[in-house]
Amino acid sequence: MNDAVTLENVSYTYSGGIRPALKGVNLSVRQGESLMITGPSGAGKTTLCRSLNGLIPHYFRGKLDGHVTINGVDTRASTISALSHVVGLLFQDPASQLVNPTVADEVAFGPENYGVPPEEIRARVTKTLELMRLKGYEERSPHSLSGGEQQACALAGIVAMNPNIYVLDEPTSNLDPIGSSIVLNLMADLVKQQKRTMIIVEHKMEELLSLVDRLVVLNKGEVVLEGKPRELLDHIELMEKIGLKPPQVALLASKLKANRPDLPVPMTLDEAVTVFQKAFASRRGKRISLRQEPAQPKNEAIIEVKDLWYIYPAGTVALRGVNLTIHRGEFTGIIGQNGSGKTTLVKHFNGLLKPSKGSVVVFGVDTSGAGIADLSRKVGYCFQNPDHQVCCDTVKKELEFGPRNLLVPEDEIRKRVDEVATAVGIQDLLNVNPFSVSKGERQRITVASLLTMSPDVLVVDEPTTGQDYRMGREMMEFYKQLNERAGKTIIVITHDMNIAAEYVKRVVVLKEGQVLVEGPTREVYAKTDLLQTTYLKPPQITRLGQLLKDYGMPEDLLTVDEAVSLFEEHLGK
Amino acid sequence: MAFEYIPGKTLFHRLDPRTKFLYWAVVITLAVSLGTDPIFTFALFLSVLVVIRMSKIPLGKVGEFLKGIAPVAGMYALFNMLFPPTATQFSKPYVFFYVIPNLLPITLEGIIWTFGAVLRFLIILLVVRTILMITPIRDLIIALIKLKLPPEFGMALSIGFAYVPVLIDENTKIKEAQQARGWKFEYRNPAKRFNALLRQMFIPAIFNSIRRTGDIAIAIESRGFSHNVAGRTYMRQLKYTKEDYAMTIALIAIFIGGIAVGPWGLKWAYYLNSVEAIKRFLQPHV
Repeated sequence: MNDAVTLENVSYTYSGGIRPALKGVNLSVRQGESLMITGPSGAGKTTLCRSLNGLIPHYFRGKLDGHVTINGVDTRASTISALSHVVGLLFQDPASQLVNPTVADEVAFGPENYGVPPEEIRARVTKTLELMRLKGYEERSPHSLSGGEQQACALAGIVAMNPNIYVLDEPTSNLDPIGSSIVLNLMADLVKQQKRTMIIVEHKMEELLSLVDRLVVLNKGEVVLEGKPRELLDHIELMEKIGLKPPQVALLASKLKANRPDLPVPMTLDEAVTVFQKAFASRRGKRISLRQEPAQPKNEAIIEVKDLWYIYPAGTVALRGVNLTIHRGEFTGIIGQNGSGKTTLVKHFNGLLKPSKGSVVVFGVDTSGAGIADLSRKVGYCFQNPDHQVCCDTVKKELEFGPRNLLVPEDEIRKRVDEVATAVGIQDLLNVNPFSVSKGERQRITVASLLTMSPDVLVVDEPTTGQDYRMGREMMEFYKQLNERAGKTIIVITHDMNIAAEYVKRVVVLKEGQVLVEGPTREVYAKTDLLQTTYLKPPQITRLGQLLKDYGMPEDLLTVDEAVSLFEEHLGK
Repeated sequence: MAFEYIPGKTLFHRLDPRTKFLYWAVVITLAVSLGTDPIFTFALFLSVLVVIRMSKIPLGKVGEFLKGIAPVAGMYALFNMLFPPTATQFSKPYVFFYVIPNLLPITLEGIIWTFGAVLRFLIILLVVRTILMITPIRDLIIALIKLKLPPEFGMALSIGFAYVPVLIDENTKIKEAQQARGWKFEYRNPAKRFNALLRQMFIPAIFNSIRRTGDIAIAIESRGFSHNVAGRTYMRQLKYTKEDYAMTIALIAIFIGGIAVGPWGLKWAYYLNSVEAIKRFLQPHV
């Protein structure tokens, strides 16, 4: 018997759920195989993971049809704890799976539960921490680690249990670029060294496709594609259609293929370089460049930051002499790793933090003497997690909360709530309890509740983290409209270089509390070496352009669409 | 941080947590049974300071802690000074001055009483704090489990400690998110203030806690917590060493000695006697 995992016609509906989360899924995973599962939000990926260690049907009771078999045992006939001994499950959010006071205890927790002798546990802890590059962190609180290290610690907790099958459910979705590369590298090591069965749920095809044996694409609870990654490159358009983010180089090639059926579709950046070097062989040395875009008109300065230093009460120096001017109508992205000072910087714009040294002037007012409430009339700050904010029992009250605090007249409030609800597309939800809607909708409600305060500037903290590609783009599309149609100044904090490339007009890159580089997006993205110093990687398409420099390609490509037209032109009809 | 562990290799770090519990029990019992006798309570207080010193806890950490409890200790001192228990009153107290004429005096006896009472208060808090600073939380919990605490409770305690920093961080975020929407929580009216706090802070906090509780339950189940709770092993092994036996004997001796000199034995440590002694010592100066 070779199959580690078999799903036979599996359907599952959560209790209280209206439509099934999984519909007739058939899948088998061989012993030692590594399988990547991807799909948009709501595709049933997490549900599938939960069915593998018995959380479904033993914890989530709902309606399960068909058979899930792990190493020949039907999960119905087993228990969560018996299955978890074989199937190690890692979750998306590291913060809700680290339950022990120290890193060493966290790693020991699983083996302790299964009654492994203490000496053996100690040996495993030492070995696993070394493997996960967490040596020296034994006595630290897991929650004091960086995001990537937290997830590495959670993974260590699973590895120490020595499971036969690893199931990793979006392990990098909540992490910054450094954190994700830590975890992705560890996963790659695991795949190579341990030869265990691996099921990895991820969105990051660019990084993972070359590591896995097989790819499964889920959509709306069903398997829509399945096969070796390379075989599936012929279905790039379908992947894009259902809201996935296939490798940019593959997307580019498959779009060019319409006119050139013999063009191979590359899977990785290296392959793409080879493919296009060949295609451009006759064009060597001929330069081609993007049409110059008109520069963003500079309106009056509305936020002026001068030599800003901020030191937290505990002594951490978060900002070291930041200078920055935001003009009316700009769409700015603030980019950097966690801990680079992004959030600390923008918290000065509405007075949540006051400068330790230097000054911040917002609409002519020095923030050191101004109240948060007064500044919030001008600068709306949308926090990353809507669940830290939603506090009213109807969406309508939530939207009224801000303006009421600012003592806006009642008829004006009513008018604003109607306008904003329509603009954000939540008019049907006004009388609904905000806790009962989806997280994506709650995010919209949060933005709406700031817009009713009618601020000139909207600061949005990580609007795309933890969302799939399509939802992230929809959010950004919405901010773009606010910027272009309603004339709002938008400042987006993000560590997603790809999404910033598509939407943001100006980029400010922070590193260790200082501005590393800032300017129009195109100019900043061309400085790959500089960005590399803070471990930020420009999009794959930008790097492809840079690697094809000798073949005439520009160094500042931002999106696949512009690359398609440029490559078309360069290849000639 | 509220539950900071300061790593070290001193004698008191090395002791088994159960020996530390015994230390805690002896000090607390003595502190209470000595009845705030100023001289003996002072001696006990000094012994606690010696333990802190021997454990190489940075003085800054102790200072930080004392600063934190200073307002409460101050209130406690003031209350005791104004209203010393009647049982400790002499027929002719030495009055410094009256706060309210002929009704509320500040007396020498009251001050001596307060000195002992505040020291006792500090001893009780410092001992707990010291033990927490020199013992990893996990060791304390394992010791409790060895002392027959059900492992499920131990796990709950452990999770509680692990999530303190997360909760503090979350509450800051909630507060800031509401402030960013123009919310002021400095209402003058305490009822209004409480109501605002309840709505805007607690609702998101509770919602998040409930969600997190579910996630944690799933996470620990997925790591086999309910596999066989009674049969689970512990990486950290507790072992009585010679030091523990020696310390246990010493603690028992100190306990018996303390009780013997205290009000139940030889009555050397007897509040009124001590006050007399201090008064005789101070008389020429006062």
